[in-house]
Amino acid sequence: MEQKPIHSADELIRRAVALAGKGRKRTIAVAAAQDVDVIGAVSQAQAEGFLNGVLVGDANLIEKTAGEHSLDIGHLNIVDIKDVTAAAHGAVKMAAEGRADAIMKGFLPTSALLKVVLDKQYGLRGKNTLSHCAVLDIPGYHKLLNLTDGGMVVRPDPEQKYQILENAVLVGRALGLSPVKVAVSAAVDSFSEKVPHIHSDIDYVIPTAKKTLEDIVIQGPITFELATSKRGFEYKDETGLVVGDADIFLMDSIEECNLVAKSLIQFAQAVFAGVIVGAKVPVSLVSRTDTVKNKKASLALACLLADYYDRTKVWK
Amino acid sequence: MEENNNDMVIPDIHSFDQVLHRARQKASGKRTRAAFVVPSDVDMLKAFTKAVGDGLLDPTIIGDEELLKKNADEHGLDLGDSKIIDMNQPDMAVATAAQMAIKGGIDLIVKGRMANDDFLALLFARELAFFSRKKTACHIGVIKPERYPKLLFLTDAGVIIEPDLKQKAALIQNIVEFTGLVGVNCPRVALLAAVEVVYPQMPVTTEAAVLSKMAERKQITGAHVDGPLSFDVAVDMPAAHSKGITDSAVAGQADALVAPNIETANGIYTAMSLYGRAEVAGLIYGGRVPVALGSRSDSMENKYRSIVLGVIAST
Repeated sequence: MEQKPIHSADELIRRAVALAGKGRKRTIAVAAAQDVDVIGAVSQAQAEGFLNGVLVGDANLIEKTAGEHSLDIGHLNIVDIKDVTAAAHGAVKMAAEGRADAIMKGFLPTSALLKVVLDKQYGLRGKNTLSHCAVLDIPGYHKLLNLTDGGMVVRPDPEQKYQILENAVLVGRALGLSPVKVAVSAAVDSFSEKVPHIHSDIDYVIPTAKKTLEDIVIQGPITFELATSKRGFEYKDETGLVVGDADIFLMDSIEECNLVAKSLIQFAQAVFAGVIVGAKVPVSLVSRTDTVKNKKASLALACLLADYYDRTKVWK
Repeated sequence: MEENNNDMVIPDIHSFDQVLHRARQKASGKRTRAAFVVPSDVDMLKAFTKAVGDGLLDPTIIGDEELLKKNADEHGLDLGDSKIIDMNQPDMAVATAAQMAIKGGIDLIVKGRMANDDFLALLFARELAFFSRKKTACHIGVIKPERYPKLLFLTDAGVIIEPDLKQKAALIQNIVEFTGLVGVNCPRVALLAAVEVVYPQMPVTTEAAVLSKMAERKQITGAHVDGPLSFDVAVDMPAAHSKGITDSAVAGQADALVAPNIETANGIYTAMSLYGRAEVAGLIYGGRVPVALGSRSDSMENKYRSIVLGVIAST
């Protein structure tokens, strides 16, 4: 069952296709699907055979949008619910009842969708806070790098930061990583008393992870350079199993993570797969500015994560 | 000004080659008196001797003379007319350079092998008075990503951990002064955030909005200032337009980026240096003289660019 770890966006997509070929194709329910980018992404993923899409939303608008942009939705199921919030409930209910394995955001604000996902009646809450993982395939780096959290928690307290890490480790496991190598972000190389989060990282986040999470290696606080660069490693005489080889870079604010990830997407041609983790099903979102490949990789990641949840019964 | 790239305004000075050209012009009048401290960083030593060879510097080297000569011999480096002050204690070398700067004996410090925070702690020693209490000091990184048609000035990746509103206004002021020295006038300054919407629960966004208003009301002058802007909206015109931001002088065409905190700036700077196929350079601005420094794993070429910037920034 165990497979080689996934180290690139292409491999991520290939693996999702292969999984579908083995009869483990995943179903994604789109909440308020009347959005051209979302319809395009799902229709393409379905055409490539790695997921079943269910478009929950205003059927008229969905068909009109698809028609205007020549998107093939012939193979997609449509559930006609016009009201946006009701459509979100419809999609989330499908996931709660096991008729969908993942949820995708359509034409509604992320916060509005997540409120429904966390609605107690659906029982999809996990024990952790929700967090966003930006899994980047950066040309020049030899593996995928999961930057977190650049989307959900503005300024995590130590407990939230640990939970964000735990969520990210789930993604690492779904990618087949063993061990999962975690670097905790720092502004400067040496221990600086002035960095506000340094004590809580050293006294709480890192020891809690070491104590609680199996099959991980964690090091920090270290800089992005040290976490991802062998060049830095050779130069700085640093030792540690994570230096130059991080799978996860755990950051301290939404700004740090979001901006560093976007700088890599913008100027380093990094391919980006994003997913919201912490609920019992993955929540996928794509944005207008995402490339076709980003969207595909994001959906593939949601499929692999959903499959991992199913295989391991991690939420049972 | 020339316009292209989806209407992005590109300043006349938009590449490191042009910056180097300016530095050469400046040096042809008077070479910059530069002190290189803790010269055991071989790449920085190579960069320094290259700048000496290019006629940019009137050089002094403060450090372990024996080790210096050994390194120079091993790598075939010509120290030129460098005055050497033999001093094998790094702390003393830094203090000596700072005192020379205060007395007006040098125009530029070049940092060799020492951790940035240790180095800064030495320079910030109150009795040294290298930094004035009236002037905010900061790190300014200059980045030329392969996929951006002009230079990007980034602050603060090295000095202020989490600038408050007042400090951010001072950072913008420093950017205005510094870009002016480089030859980029009235820079387009983006105040970076995770989103381009003002959310009360994200203080970075409300501060950025306040600073934008301050600039609009001419409390901050010499720059176009806008924020909050996310990274893509700051530097990518189609992204800015797709988010409905069409009337900003900054969005999609930023010359300068003010990051919300040191981790963010440092992360962007090193991400660009390592993976953006970018030319980068950095210095500490706001002291008695500028301090050229590289990220420790920067290439020799990027360290050379830091020295060139230092030449431009020195008075």
